[in-house]
Amino acid sequence: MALLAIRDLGLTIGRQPILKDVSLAIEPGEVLGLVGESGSGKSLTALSVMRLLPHGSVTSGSIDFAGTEILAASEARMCALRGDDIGMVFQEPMTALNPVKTIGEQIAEGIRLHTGASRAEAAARAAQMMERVGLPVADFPLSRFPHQLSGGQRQRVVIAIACALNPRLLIADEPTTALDVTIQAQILDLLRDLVRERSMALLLITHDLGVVAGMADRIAVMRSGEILDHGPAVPLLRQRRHPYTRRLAEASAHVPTRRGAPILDRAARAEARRPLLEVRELVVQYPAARRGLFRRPPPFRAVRGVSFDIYSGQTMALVGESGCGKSTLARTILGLQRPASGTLVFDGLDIASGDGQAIAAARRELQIVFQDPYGSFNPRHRVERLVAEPLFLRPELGRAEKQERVARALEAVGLSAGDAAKYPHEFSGGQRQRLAIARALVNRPKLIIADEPVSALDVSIRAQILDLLSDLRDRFGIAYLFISHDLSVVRALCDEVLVMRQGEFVERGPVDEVFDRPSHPYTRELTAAAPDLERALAQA
Amino acid sequence: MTRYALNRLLVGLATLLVASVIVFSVMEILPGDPARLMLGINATEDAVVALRQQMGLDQPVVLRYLHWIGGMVVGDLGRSYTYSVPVLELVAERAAVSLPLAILSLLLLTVVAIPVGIFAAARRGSAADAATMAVSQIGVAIPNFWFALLLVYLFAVWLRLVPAGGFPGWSAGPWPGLKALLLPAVALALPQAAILSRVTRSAMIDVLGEDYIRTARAKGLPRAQVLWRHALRNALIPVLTILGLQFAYLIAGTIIIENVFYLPGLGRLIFQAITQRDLIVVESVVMLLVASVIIVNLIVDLSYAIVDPRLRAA
Amino acid sequence: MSDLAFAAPPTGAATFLRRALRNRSFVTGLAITALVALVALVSFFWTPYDITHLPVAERMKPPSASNLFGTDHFGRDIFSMIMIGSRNSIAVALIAVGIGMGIGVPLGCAAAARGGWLDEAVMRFNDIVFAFPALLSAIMITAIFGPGAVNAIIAIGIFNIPVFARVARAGALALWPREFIMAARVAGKGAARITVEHILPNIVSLLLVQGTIQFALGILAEAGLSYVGLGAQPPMPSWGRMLFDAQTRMMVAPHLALFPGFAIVITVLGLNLLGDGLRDLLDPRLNRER
Repeated sequence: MALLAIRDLGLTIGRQPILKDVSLAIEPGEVLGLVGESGSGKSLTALSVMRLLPHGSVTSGSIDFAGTEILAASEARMCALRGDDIGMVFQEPMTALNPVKTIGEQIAEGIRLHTGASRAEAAARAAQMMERVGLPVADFPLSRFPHQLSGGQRQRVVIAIACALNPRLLIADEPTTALDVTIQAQILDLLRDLVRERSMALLLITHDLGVVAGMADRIAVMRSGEILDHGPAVPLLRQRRHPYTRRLAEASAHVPTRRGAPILDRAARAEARRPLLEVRELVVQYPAARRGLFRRPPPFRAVRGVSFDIYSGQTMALVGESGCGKSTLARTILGLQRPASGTLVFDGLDIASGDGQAIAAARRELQIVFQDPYGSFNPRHRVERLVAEPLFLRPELGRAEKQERVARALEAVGLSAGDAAKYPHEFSGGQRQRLAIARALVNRPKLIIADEPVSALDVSIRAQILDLLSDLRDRFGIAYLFISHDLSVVRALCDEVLVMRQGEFVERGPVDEVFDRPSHPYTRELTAAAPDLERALAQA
Repeated sequence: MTRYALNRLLVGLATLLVASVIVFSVMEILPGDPARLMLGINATEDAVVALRQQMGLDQPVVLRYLHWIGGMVVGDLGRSYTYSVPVLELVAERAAVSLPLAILSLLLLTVVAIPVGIFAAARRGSAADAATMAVSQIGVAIPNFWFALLLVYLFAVWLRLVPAGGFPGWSAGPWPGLKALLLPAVALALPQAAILSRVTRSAMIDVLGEDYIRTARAKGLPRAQVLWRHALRNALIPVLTILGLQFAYLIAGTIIIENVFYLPGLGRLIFQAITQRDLIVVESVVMLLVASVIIVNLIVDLSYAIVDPRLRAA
Repeated sequence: MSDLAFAAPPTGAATFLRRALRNRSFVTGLAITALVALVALVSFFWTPYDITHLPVAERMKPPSASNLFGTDHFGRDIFSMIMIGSRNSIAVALIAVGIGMGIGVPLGCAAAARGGWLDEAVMRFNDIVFAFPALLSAIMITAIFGPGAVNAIIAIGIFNIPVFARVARAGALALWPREFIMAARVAGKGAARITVEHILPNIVSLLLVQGTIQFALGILAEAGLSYVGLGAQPPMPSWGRMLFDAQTRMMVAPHLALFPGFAIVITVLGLNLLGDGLRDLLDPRLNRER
């Protein structure tokens, strides 16, 4: 008898249909992976089970949880179920905890509510739970506030809250998407262990096939509010009978074709080619926040004396976790941040000196593509003006020529010249990323810095953008500095890789060499932690 | 905590200092010689010079400022030109009316507005919410002195429940005094309460949309408990900000309202002093009121730290 | 970021109009505001009675067919007085908003763009001005120059400066780290150009909403100042002064106090509704799902 049985669940919000005939079952102690791209309805399916849907939601069908019909239960009955029999972990650990309450209070609250335990008993159980999720009370007293913890630590607290009363069902909605890969691996391990040791059932919601492959017993694949494919995990992922499942799996492992051989540092040096970008002993630091009236601690060194070259046409990857200094390095190369010391020569121009003319000249050949396809355009300007922005550096161009260049850039990224009159909100996420690339191309740059350009995109769109970037490189001989935390993307696109940690490079070299035979322990940890569909299937 | 508190304290002191320079300079550039004003048009030149010397008016500006501010700190505000009594005495007597009025209306404002705002937010979209917000929309638009006139007409002229104006003093015990301050306090507080209730409602609604509210609900907390235990304290931060700003309006409001009810407070004093060109009194009262606004805002800043642990660490 | 209402992406004028007409606050507010503006304009050409004429025999008449709102203690028609008084209220509040925006917005934008000491200086300036309620400034200015409508404008205008500086600064600060600003910087644009091209167009709606709120507050403050005699001076009629004159005669003729008060409430209510409506219309959070 299934612990949770969803039958023909339908959901509309306002008048918009969200879910259609969703049927799922989870046995006690089973891990079900619910996979889908953004907007597929996977999170709302979970919220339906919790009955925490947004205002204006209308449901149909049935959700049976251990004999209770959830869609018909009273609110009081639901309050008794939530937290006690069903626990939930959310995506955003940074906002999931109340900033004005201590973590101890927040864990103990549910315990007291459901068991009627005294304050002291509940605190003792909260402390045990903290210990279990890897936050020993000796180092993390219950009196800590959420802002005193890192993202991974906060997610552990959220897990402690959800699992404090050994619920029979745990729902985890993209629990690791906001976290770095090494932390992601730790959190997934924790969830796997907790589920096994307390024989909880787990509904794991994710967009990442690599994550479910290593976790789930069975998988359901969702798109546009419907379940398209479901079955035992390994056969489903290996055989890929459903066309959509196959598309997802192939897109997540997509490798764009490269015309011409990868450009490797040692070959370029052997030929004594001059690098396009030469970085030597670069140090970038930020003033630290003042403590007390006059005392100022030494500045924070975000980049600690790094050196590297990028050759024209080369794709250089920069990988590392959040806060390692990779974005600061990018900003410095773009001339948005003055380095404290070191040299930075781009195409013969010294950018580090702060010489305005050199920076302006360098910027004509230097562009950037950002992560967020929503934040990178002024919503009030038309595409023509947005894409033409870098042409500000070429006042010599006439109006007609500028229009011509915009049209050609749009066509180069697979949009049409007619899109110039539209506003950015008229485009989808993937198309906006194409617009961002068109803006970077309009000045015909020699180097494009791509800062996590595909990490906000769904896998199928991601594959298309990677193809585009690869195609542009081959056609125009553009070099990339490709910043990413996603090793599979780096492996698919890049020639060389720099592994950055705490402002320094710990390892560097050709992509395959570094990832297949990592020599530094940090690189090893990183490659082991990265979720990988093929590897997970091979181990299964 | 201490670092944040110290920082706010220093900023508050600096603001106070600059404000005092502004007030002093304004009085400096005023036309008219106080000595001549005190002695009348018929005074001889010698007498004026003598009085100027006695009042220290012949000293350089900086010295006079230091003397003035030094006096303020130790409670010596100088002597009124027209009443010939120490300004401190005058101010203390009048503040005994204005201060209770301001505090009473601040209390009334908080006690009415915050529960109403929470109530409306909890029943968002209901008829009760719509009605409360409609009433508050009108309340925001009502000038406090007109509201006061209407209250006087209704309660004093028609129903004869309270005196129409005047102040019996505190000598007869607290009740007659409080009774006289009741209508003025209501007139001051309710229009401001309309604003604060709207702010409270929207702050609560914003907070109720946060992720951690969902976490609390997922724990099994009923909606009402989530409201009290998780939402309220977070919503207090914007509410406190507005409350601090509203104190300045209340201070300005007391000055006007005292004129409606013929209350012998600081507001009446300042207007009398202006017409009699009793500058030292104007200067002292303005400085006192400005200082009280700065101090209340300092208290608001410090109470943020109590509400929000993120500031305590800073 | 999420607590700021940035400009919604531009859509066709027709769609905007359709949404605007469905918004009840906006329509009511706009209608009232337009009516008040119309009354003020008409008063330049026509009023039911000439208010410079003082028919003392007709004094303190209750409302009737010939004097819609009755007459005052000089026998002047209150309706005509209110019409002319609206000019004063609108002019004072509008110019004060202009002063506040004209000085406050550049200050706020500069503070956000430059940061550092300039930002600190603007914030401290705000603290100091906030410590002087408009009424206290008006008292000090009046003490120097004597009473008059100009004093009211200056006092309320000064108080508006930090309000707009704060709104502009908060809006600009939320925009500066955005990626499209970074893209403009990479294109070599300076802070001033970026502010004009990218920041201002995106905070216009914030400023517009705040502008209507300050306009409404300005009308209230002006009424308060002229009530205590620090604003417009007789014989120029002003709503606040009319209420002051009414106060002593309220036992005999309560209508004297009723109509000028209604005029203030309706004008302020109209502006507040307009502001609320604008906020709803321009807040992208409400129309993001499209």
